[in-house]
Amino acid sequence: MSQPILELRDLRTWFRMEDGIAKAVDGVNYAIPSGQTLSVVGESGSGKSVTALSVMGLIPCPPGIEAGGEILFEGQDLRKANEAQRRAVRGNQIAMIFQEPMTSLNPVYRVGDQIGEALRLHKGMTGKEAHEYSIHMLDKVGIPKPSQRVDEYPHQMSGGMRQRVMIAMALSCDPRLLIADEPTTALDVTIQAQILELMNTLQEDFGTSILFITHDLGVVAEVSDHVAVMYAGKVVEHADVVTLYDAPQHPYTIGLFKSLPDIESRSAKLEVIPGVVPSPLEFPSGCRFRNRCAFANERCAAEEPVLRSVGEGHTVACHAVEEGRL
Amino acid sequence: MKQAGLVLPGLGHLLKGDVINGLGLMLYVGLLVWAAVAGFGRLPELLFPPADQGGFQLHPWVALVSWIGIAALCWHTAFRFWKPAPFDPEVDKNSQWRELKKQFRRNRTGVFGLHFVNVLIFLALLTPFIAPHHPDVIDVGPSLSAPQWGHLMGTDEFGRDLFSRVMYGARISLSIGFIAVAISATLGTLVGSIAGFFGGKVDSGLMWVTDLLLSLPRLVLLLAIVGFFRSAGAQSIFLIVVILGLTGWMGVSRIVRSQILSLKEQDFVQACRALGLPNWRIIVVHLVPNALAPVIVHASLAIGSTILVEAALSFLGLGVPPPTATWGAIVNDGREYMRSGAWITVFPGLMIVAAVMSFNLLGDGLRDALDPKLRGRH
Repeated sequence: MSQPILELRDLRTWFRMEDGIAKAVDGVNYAIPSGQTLSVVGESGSGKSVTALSVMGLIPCPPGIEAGGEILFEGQDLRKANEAQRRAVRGNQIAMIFQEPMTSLNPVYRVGDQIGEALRLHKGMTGKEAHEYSIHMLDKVGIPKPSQRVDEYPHQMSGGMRQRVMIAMALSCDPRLLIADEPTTALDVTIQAQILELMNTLQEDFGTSILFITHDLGVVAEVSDHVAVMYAGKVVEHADVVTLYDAPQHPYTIGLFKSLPDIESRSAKLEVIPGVVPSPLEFPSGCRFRNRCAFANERCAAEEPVLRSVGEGHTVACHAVEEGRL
Repeated sequence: MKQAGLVLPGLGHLLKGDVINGLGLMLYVGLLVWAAVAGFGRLPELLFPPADQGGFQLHPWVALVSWIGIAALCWHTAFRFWKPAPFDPEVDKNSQWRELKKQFRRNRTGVFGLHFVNVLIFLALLTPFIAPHHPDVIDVGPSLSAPQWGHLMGTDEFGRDLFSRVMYGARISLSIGFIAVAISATLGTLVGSIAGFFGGKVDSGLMWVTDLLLSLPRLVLLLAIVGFFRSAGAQSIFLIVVILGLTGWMGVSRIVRSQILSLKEQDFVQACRALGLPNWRIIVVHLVPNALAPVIVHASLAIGSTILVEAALSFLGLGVPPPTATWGAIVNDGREYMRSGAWITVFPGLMIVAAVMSFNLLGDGLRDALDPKLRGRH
C-alpha cells in the first residue's frame, strides 16, 4: 500500500482546566490511505472533533496543550511545523467543513467573495479569476444558477445550500485532505442524503481523501472505506467498513450497533449502553470503558488494553476480545 | 408630477407628498443660489487673488468644485426620483447598505437630521462664496453694530463681520468634529479589536488603560494636555484635533471589544482559520466589518459632542488660537459684551445647538436603522 495521506501516531491533545488536565485526545493512532475515506465515530466527548482540530492546528493554546505524538501529513510532521507553515497547509492542502452551515459563513460578505478569498490567498488568483472560479465551484457542488448565487449573501440561502457553499469553499483550492466535522448533523434527512452523495461524487472527481467525523452510524455506512471508533480519547476499534458492520468486536462498538433503532424488529425499548462517557479529567484506571462494560474483570482495571490485530486490517483494544471471553 | 423636480429639485418630492426630502432638496438649491448670487460676481478675485492679498488660496477652488458637486447631487436625486435606477439584481441584491438606506428612510427624525447635517456641511464648503468678508479682517463695519442688512449677524468689537466669522467657524468646528472623531473611531476600533480578539493579558492591559482614561474627566484632561503644550509654545488647530481624537477613543474601544468578543466565537471565524487566513486578516476583513454598526452610530453622536467639547475649550481660551474663528471662540469673544452686544454670543451659540442637535438626530436615526430590535417603531 502506498504512503497514507495522513497518519496519526500516538496523538495527544490535552486541555488545562481549572481542576486538572483534561486528556481529550490521549494516544490516538490511525491512518487514512490516499484517496479514501476514514470515518471517526464516537459519542459526544470522545475526542473525535478535538483530533480533527489538532490536525488542522486549530486548538487554541492555552488552554490546549500539544502533549505529544506525530501528525504525519504526506510524511511531514505538522506538530513540528511553525504557525506560518501550518497556515500554508490549512485551506490549501487540508480543508475543513463544519457542523453548522448557518453560522460558518460571514454574514457581511457575498458567498463568492468568501470562496474567492482562499483562492486569492493560496493560489494567487486575481479578484476576477477567483470570481470566475467561485462560479465554477458553485456549479460543481450543484447550486443552480451559480452565476447569480455567487453574488448572494449567506442569509439568502438555506442550510443545505450553505453547506454546499462550505464544501465549494473547502474544495476550491483542491486540497489533498478534506476534514468534515459532522457536516450533515444540522441538516434534515433529505438534504443530508444529497450532501453525502455530493461528497462521494466530488471525492471521485477530485481524488480527495476525507476524514469524516460523525456520531451517526448510518452516515458512516454511506460514505466510508474505513472506520475508527473512538472512546474517551482513544481509538478502541479500527476496521474497514464492511468488517466493522459485519463483525464488530469491541463491546463498545457492539453496544453502539445495538443502540441503533431497528425498523424490522420493533422491540419496545431501545437498548442502551449503561452509564456515560467518563470525564476526561479522571478516566478510570486500565480500560476506560470498563465501568460500562459487561465483560470487565480485574485485568481490565489494572492494565490498559492496546490495539491488537484480530483480522486483516482490523484492530481492537480489548482484553476480553483477546482472551476470548466475549 | 415627478418631472417637476427637474426644474426645481425637491418640487417633485413635495408634489408627491414627500415633504422632508422635498424641503431638504429645495434648501440645498437655495444655498446654491445664495452662493451664486453672493459669490459669483467676485469669482475672478476669489480664485486668482492679487499677490498682495496672499496669492493663491485653495478653499475658493474647493468651494467652486463643491458648488458643482452639490448641484449635480440635487439634480441627480431629482432625476432618480422621476426615473429610478433600473433594479439590477446582479449588482446589489440585498446588500447591507441598501437595507440600511431603506430602514433609515423610514425614520423621519433621522432623515431630518441628515438634511440638517448636509446643510451645515454645504454651508461650510460654500463659505468663501457666501461669506461677504474675510473672517479675520477688522473694521469692515462699525464696531458692535446690531444685525442689519450687510452685516446679517452684526459685528464684534473690532468691527469684524460676525456672519462671515460664524460661516468660517462652521468650517473649522465641523472639520475638528469630523477629523477628531475619525481619529478616535479608528484608534478605538484598533484597540478594541486587538483586545477582544487576543484576549488574556493583551485584553487586560488594554482595557486597564481604557478604564484608567475613562475615569479621568475629559475636559480636565484636555485642559491639562493643552495647557502643557501651550507652555511648551505649541498651539495650532492640528494640535487641538489630535488631542481631541486621542482622548475620545475609549468608548469606541469598549463597544468594539464587546462586539469582537461575541463575534470571535462564531463558527465563521473558525472556518476562516481553517482556510489558513492570518490573524490580522481575520480581524480586519472578517471581524471589524461585522462590528461596525454600533461604531457608526457612536461616531455620529460623538461628532456632536466633540464640537461641544471644542467649543468649551475655545470658550475657556484654550482652544484654537485667535484670531481663527470657531464657534466656541466667538462665544468667548462675546462674553464681555453680553449686555451691549448679545448677538455676538447668540448666533454662534445657536449654530452649536443646531449642529449638535442635527448630529444627534442623525445618530439616533442610524441606530434605529442598524438595530433590528428598534425597527418598525417609527
